[in-house]
Amino acid sequence: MFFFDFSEAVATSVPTNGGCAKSDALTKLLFSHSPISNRLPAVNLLIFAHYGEAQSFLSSASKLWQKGSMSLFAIDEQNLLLICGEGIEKAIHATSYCLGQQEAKIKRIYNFGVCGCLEADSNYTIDTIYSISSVYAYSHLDDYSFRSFASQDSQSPHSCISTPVRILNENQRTKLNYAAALVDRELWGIAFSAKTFGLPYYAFKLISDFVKKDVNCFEIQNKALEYSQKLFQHWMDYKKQSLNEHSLDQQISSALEESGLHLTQSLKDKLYKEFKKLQILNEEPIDSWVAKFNSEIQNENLLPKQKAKFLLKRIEDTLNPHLRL
Amino acid sequence: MKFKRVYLEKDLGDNLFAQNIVKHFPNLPVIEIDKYDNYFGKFRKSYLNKRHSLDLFIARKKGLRVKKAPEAYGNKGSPHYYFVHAYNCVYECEYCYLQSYFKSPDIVLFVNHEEIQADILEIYKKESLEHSTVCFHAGEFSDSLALSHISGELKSYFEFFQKLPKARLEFRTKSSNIKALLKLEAPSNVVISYSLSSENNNKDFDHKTPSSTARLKAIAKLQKHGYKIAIHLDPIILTNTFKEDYRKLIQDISSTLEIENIEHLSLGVPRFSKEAYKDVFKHYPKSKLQLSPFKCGSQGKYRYSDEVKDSIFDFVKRELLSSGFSNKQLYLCMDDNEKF
Repeated sequence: MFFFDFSEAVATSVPTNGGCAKSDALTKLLFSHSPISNRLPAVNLLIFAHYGEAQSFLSSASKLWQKGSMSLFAIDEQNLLLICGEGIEKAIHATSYCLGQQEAKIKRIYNFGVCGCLEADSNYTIDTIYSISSVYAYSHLDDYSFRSFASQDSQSPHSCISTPVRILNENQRTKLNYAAALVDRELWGIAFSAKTFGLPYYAFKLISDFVKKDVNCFEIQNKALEYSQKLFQHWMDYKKQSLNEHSLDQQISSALEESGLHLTQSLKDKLYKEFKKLQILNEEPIDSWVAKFNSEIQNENLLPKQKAKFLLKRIEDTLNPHLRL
Repeated sequence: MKFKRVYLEKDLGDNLFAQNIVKHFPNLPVIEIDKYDNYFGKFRKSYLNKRHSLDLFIARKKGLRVKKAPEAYGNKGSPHYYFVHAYNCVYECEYCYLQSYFKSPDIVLFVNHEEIQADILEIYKKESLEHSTVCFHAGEFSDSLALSHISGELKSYFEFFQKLPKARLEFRTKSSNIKALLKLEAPSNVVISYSLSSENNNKDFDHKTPSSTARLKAIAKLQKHGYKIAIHLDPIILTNTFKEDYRKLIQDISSTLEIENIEHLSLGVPRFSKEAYKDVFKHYPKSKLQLSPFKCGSQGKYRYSDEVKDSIFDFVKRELLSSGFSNKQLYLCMDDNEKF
């Protein structure tokens, strides 16, 4: 169930290749800091450097605004898409500008795009998409930026380094490659802004080429549609996978709902936390744990709220080894 | 664990230790650099990179090469120092402070051992005037044996310490890589000091380390070879099976080793800075450490309450004494020994 309907916005929006006019109704909803906007569902912000890489995501999108090289689109009720332009500075500028206006409603940031690979003799393959764990930056001053930003996918083995400079010699390549195997022009700027606004970010990079002096930029540009389709498919697969990963949360929620216990919100929150810990200790499904507990106490003369507290204590006893000392 | 590249400081081309390390990796690219710290620690490199892409630096240690150890680091009565011959470790222990200590998980092997030894000598000369024993430890920022077959410095330290009768050299390790040690005669003032944990804790928290059984076998071999041995039951992590697990470990120790010949046995519990505690769960989101009852103390450190800690130490001490250890052999590492 979505809180607001984009159909009105689509009807009033400008074509995706249009100027800088705004969709009034949607813009009001998305940009205003009125009490209404605080009740809006949180959305994802997908960020691309170029329209070419984003085009497959935009088939039914509506443009919300455009300013210079940056444009913001609404893909659907849960996802906005920002074209930030090329380079670290533009990425910081566009992302921060967008988040500054949208802060209350954006819950996480995704960067999609192409990148180069600095290791020709490695296991990395062209046209494959990698999730990035950390991003570093290399500056105009021929040195690393001391700041790096970890994505939400901390377990990924792939890192990326953003650089404003064109890699012209082996020394530069060596320096960049110490930090990461993948290289792009924007991610560090996007991650910097995300950090400034306290938002988590993810990044998915498709390798377009192995970095060398005579790389053919036109060939890469000509494959933009193909890259965009691959990135879009990756996004679809990722969303499906994320739904599965949320099953533990769902399991806990439904086990609690079906438990027949009287749960205040604070008790529910505590149980939720403790059940999550229990899953680390024990592979037993939550619902069978609750069912076992219910059958154990069925003969005890307890009120539903007392039962709930008893359940919490039972889990805490199981979890806290110091009570056994 | 495999290294991806070797970074060698240009000035070390003539250093024999450096040359021997490079020879161990004939298939790795060797990149000549000016200074290791133009790379290492210039930015925060993801700790989990060590699983897939670990780089090796061969470098000269500048600055303070021998440091005073904190209070309660070792047995009371003697001054304790540690010397820095390497940064970082090939193992992956969930509680390890190295996760947040350096900005990079890459390994740095320092090869200017002559300079390190000159600094040790200077301290020794001063301290040995006042104390009958001066203790020097290796392995504060790395495992002292895990890469010793590559770094090749053991012989040089053994020979050096043989000339310092009042000094004691202690190598802290979890490694069962003892080939290099077995090739050498055991000097009387060298102690090989092993960290041990229960088999369950080892499995849950000490990734990529030798099992407790393998470590005990290695210790037994070293003891037979004539090495002095110390043991650290540190950190003892409280789990639901703590009592059974540690009872079993202590039985294994007493049945495998000559416990009367163990120099000392220290006990310790985990302690984390706020950053380190946060990093543990970032790197190991399903870590069972979250089930252990850590409390954030007044100084922002995560540790067990005194009550929990005392119960752990009481239990383990009882088990050790009933297995034949003497009170004299036991002490608490980084903790108050008054009550112990």
